[in-house]
Amino acid sequence: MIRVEELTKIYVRESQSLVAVDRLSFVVHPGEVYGLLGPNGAGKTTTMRMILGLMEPDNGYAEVAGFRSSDSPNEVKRRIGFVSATAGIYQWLSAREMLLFFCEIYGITGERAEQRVAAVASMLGCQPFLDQRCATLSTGQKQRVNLARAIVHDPPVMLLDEPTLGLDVVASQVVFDYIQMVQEAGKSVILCTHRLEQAERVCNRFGLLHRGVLAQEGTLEELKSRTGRSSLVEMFLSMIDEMAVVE
Amino acid sequence: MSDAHPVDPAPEPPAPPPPGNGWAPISVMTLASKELRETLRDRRTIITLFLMPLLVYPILSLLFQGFLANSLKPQGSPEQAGDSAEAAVSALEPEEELPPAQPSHEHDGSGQPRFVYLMENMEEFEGISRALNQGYVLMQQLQLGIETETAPPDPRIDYNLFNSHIFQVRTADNGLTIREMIQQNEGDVGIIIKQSGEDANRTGPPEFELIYRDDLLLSVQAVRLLEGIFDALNVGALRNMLRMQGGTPPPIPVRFAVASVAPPASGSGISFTALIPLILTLMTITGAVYPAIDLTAGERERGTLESLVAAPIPRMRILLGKLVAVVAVSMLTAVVNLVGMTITIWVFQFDTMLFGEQGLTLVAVFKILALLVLFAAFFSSVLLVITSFARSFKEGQAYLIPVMMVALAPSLMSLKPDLELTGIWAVTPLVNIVLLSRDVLTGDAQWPMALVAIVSTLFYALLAITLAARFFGTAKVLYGQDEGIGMLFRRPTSATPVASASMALLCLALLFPASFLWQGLLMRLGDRGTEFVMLAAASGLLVVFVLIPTAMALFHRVRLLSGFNVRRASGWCFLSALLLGLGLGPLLMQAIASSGHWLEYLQAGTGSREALIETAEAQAERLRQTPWLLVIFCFAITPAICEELFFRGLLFRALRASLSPTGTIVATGLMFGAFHLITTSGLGISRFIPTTVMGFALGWLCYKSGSVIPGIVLHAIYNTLGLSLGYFRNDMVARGWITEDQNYIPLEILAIALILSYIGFAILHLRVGVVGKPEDRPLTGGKPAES
Repeated sequence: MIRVEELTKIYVRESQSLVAVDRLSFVVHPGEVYGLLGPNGAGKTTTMRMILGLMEPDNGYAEVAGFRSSDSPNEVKRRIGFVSATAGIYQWLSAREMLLFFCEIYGITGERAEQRVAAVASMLGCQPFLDQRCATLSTGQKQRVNLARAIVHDPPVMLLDEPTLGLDVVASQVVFDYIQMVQEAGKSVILCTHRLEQAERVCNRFGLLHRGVLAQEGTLEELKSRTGRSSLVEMFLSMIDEMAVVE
Repeated sequence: MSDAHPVDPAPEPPAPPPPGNGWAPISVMTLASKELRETLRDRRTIITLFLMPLLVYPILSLLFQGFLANSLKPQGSPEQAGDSAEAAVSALEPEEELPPAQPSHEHDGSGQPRFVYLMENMEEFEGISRALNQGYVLMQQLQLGIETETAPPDPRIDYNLFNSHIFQVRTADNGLTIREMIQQNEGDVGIIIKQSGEDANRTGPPEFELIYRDDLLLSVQAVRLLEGIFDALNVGALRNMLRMQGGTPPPIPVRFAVASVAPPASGSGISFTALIPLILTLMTITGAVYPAIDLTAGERERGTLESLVAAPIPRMRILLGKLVAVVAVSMLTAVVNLVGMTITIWVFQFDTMLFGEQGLTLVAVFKILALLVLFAAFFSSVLLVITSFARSFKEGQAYLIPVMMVALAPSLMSLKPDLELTGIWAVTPLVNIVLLSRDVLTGDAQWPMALVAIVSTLFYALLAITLAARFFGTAKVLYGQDEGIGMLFRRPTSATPVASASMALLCLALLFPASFLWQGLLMRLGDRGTEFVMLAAASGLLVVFVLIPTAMALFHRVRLLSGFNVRRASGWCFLSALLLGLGLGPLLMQAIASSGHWLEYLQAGTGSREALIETAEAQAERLRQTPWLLVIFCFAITPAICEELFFRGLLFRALRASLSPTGTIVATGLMFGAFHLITTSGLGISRFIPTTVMGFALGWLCYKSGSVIPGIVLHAIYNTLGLSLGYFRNDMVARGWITEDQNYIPLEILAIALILSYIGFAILHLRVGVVGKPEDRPLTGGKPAES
């Protein structure tokens, strides 16, 4: 469902080049949750943006359901639900109005839209504040509305970039429960998160990214046997140390 | 859980059907309605919309009234006022039956207006003072419906014009004439005696000329008083005449003419009529500023813009949705302000004072509203260009403050009372709309310059939205940390074979005022000799259509030859160009001549048809004094090269990259026509139609040949033919080929022209294959496909 091939992004700032993503390649199949993990600045968000077609890669390509992001960005965007930590919501609209607006964007109108909003709201526990103005919602409620906004069109692919940032344990659990549910529904998910213990629980495969390079890739068992570490946290720390030694 | 899925998954199942069957991108209006709903719920918008007008107009009306109150104070220094009081007193001395004048009006606390009348000398005043006072009393009696002959003293009537201090007389001094003194506001009304009643040799009734300033309330009131007095004298005479019942009617005792003078050109006065549209445009701007920042920089700051661009909506559509919302809020502000202002003007009775006798009409209000829509579209586009670069609301505000200052400075110029909507002002953004609105309000708007203002504003709006579309919602703007408004002026890093549509349209928007200014300059050079002006005109074309686009192309790293569409073309294309050039000329000329009656109608604003023909004939006569080759070089070959390089070169190639062939041909043809429509001397309707048709033909030739060169040949032949007919007209008449007043082309010539055109088009159609998008072809050595 998602194919990333030799994807490269170079930032040029004040005549200095920085390779943000370096020939990155991986595949995410339907019903698979792919954990794209790495420290800050590893290139996770840039990769997400290139998959979504918000950024042009300098080399390589990303494909979603056979459509290249750089060639058919709108076909790709139709099939993706995107949640990012920085995504905001419309302050002066109610949660329902905002969700109905996004339904319309994806071609869902009338009664179907009402039904879809009700279903998503019920799934994420948004019903109590559905008619409340977004500006008055708590951080957790806002993040739920954001998640609802991303899945309101029932996309086959989900890109989740730090979806639990700023959420408490209970609210985070709602998100992870949802991930588990979409996985069972056969959707492809890429998850970027710093909550490694949660990632271990919901992801099928992992790509450990460091300074734009895919340092390790595989299932948790494969990574454990390959690195000799017992958890993602340990793998992470050793990866960063190794990279520092190489440099 | 990770082991619940295979490491090496099975072949991928087919992708699920796209969500939302029958999906199509969301419409601009749906996007705009969401933006509007959000914006209108924001209390900051409400403040701008309703609170501002509620506060601004009462305050402004109070200020305006304060200004009027100040203008009612006597002119000049207290000493001068004292002198004039004395003058008034001395003037009354010989009139024994009148009560003595009261002391200085400086102590007058009645609040009545006091008018200063200027006369050549006190003797003249003494001669008419009695009559003036009689007229004054009569005027009041007539107003009260009192029978003048038998009326007893009435306490309501003021029997002494000079006692009430409303009438003061001063003599012309300081070496200035009465007219100059009135111009400089040294008095309210000048009374010039054209024919004195005491003159034994006079041939008619006494005659006066009253000089006043129609832009000063006091001056207008003063002249109205005098008109009333003279009218009353005339009416009194008529009544006497009627009483005489058939006797010999006496001559009308007084005739007078009223002449207003313009304020001095160097004066520091401001036009209050221009102040109205200026305030309205500024309020329209104010209405647009907040939503423009909030819907771009604000959304970026809150993170909602990313969600929107991550959705399947073309960026241009998102931008247009926002533009519609900003224009709508801006217009809503304009409507609220217009209503507020209209009510204020009506309540305080400023309408006739500001807009003349017709006052503020509903038609004028709607015209102003239409102009404000245009202006709102333009300014909202400009705001969106700028705010698209801002990362936060604050940054957006910081960007806009200098823009507002830049906009305000020239707009204040529009308050100059003698500033006319001509030349540079007709193409200066904001100023042109303010001046045009002022002229609409006073009923002085003229079509040619109105069109210049409207078309130029449309050009600027188009340019602004094209620029905004280039950057809005792009990764550089959305995520770039170092990127700011400087992006707008950044040179691309790599060369490109074709200019972008936004660069070409920017160029077009620059060329419009540049071309207009150059034409204005040429008019100023009129006395330097025909040959000099001709060469200057040719140089202007080179600067406007070649040098400016070349400089812009170099800055944007556009390869010049490919960017300007300078390529090889087949011999068939040149043959077709030759035939079309020879054939289309006579056909188009005859079409213009045949449509003379409606052209005449369209040109009503630019003068009579006879006058136009006369002007054209005078120009032709001047050209005949110069060598034919120079005429052809300056007016046929140079325009052909310069205009083609831009319209069918840079602009055609740039638009072709995003438009269909027909779209490109029509767009460039219309723009080509529009450039010939507007001239500094008025509307060139007669030029618009043939140049647009010719533009279509040239566009088709360019599309088929894939080059600008055959078009240059066609254009040059067409120009040469037209100019030569005019140049050699007298010779042709002398040889008997045409008659002196012949304004049609002989039928046999038209038949030949038709055949030539037909063959030209046929060759192009049959012998030259479609070349395709110019950028698909090799840049050098490429030869278009021929069938």
